[in-house]
Amino acid sequence: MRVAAVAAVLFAGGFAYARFWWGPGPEALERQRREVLVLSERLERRLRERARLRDSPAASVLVGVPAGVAERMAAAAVKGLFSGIRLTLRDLRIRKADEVRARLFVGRRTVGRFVLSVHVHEVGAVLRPGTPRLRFGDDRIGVTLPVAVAEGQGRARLRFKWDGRGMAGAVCGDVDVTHEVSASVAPRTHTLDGSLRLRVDGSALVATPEFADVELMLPIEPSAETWRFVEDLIERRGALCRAALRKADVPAKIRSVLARGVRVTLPGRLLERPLRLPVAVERSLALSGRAMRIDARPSDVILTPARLWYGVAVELRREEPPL
Amino acid sequence: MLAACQAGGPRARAEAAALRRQSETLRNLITAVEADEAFSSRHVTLGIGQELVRELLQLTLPVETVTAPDLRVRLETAQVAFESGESRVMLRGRVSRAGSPGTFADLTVHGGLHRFQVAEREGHVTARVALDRVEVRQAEAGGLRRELVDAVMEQLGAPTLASLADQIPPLAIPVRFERTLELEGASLGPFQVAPARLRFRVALAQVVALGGRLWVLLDVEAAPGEPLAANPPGGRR
Repeated sequence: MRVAAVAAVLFAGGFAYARFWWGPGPEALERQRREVLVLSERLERRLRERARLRDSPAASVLVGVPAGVAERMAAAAVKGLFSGIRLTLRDLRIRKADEVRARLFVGRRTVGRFVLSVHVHEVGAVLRPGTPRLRFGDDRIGVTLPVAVAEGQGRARLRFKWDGRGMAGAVCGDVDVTHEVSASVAPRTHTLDGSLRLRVDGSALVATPEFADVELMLPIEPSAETWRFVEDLIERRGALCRAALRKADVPAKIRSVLARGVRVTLPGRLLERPLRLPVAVERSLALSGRAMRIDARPSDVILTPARLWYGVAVELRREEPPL
Repeated sequence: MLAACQAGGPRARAEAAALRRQSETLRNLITAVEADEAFSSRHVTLGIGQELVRELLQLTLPVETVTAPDLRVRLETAQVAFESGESRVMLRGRVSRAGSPGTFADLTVHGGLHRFQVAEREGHVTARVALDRVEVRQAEAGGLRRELVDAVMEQLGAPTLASLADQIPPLAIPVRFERTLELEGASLGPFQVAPARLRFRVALAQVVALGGRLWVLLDVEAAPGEPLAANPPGGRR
């Protein structure tokens, strides 16, 4: 009995020594190494399948930007590109001449001819970007961007010339009045289509906006004061003349002329301001008092639906002291 | 009992502990990847090759310290391995008697990279080297060998390793994440574009050593564009 107890104690002691002090045997170690290998392979498989992790042996530095993050960054950049675009139009002239026919006492007749000219001294507007829609593919990000023209204000001279005919001419006579009015650019939304072309420049990813020229139609909207002026002009005439001018519906004619607006071309090259992705390899480095030059060469750019990858090959060189 | 006889002693115990840590790290990573928490669709990923990190680390060497009573430790060459979730650093050098430089032993100090952070001002990712284990490889000077190896094993403890690690400056990975992006102003025809500035918030999410690279995962958020000035510059015409 005593011998058995001593044997058991010795066995337990030996086991504890082997397990906790002496360490595992070669087979146990080999099992652990295999387990690490299997787990590493499983992790690499998961990363390929889920995170679309890529590698490029030539690149010392790889930068991967997930599509969602790239989309948010590109959206902020595109909005930044378009925010604060101001448009100032000067010395614009719009002219409209037409005959006015109206039903009077004896049938439909020409009651007069008008010439409306608007001289816009200056009108300004601000372009406000909406939320861009982005499409990822190849070496570029496609961009569709609504841009609203807003906050335009300016001064214009309105000249209205009325040459009355027949009875209207007899009762109205000719009218030739000029008035300074304020005007604004009516809000309107335009859609711009273009892309951000991606390339690696040195050690940074650069997105260059590429947009074609876009024609913007900017309707001019006269202020309330303009309509008061037209109304006064009509009110100051005699009853028959007023009837003729009301038949002519002068305000509607002014409105239709100005609503056609001014055509302005937004040049695409105005937007060609390269955007550098804010991740870049440094060009120099000081470590332990040693100045190093860093040569960074782009290795590749890969745009997948899930992630944008680019690689940079880096070489460290000792900075030569100046002679 | 037979297994115990074939077992590898303290070295095997250390390796087994390291393998257990690796397995745990790998399991945690697999779970995090499957839950879209690591290498996720939210993270900007920087993959820094181990050779570049080795070159950077090599630039900080040699480092030297003298420890009581007269052991001089000088570390001269670096090796780096980023595998299976572990960043391993091996610094090779020599330990000698300060009073008798001919008596020396080659040694390897093992450690890893830790304390990763994104430097607030420069935007670099930085890391520190931590040293945790010494291995004596070969000793010279005949009869003094055993005495020197014993002294190294006794005296090169945590304080000496910490002192050596402190002499290695923070390792700056030369990849910079700018927190602002400036957009130039321009002027063409009736159009003027004001200069603008975009801001980014950058935070370190995780660092994973895998497949020969140090993967640095960053949380990046872009703030909306902000015009800098009402008046555009002379710009293009």
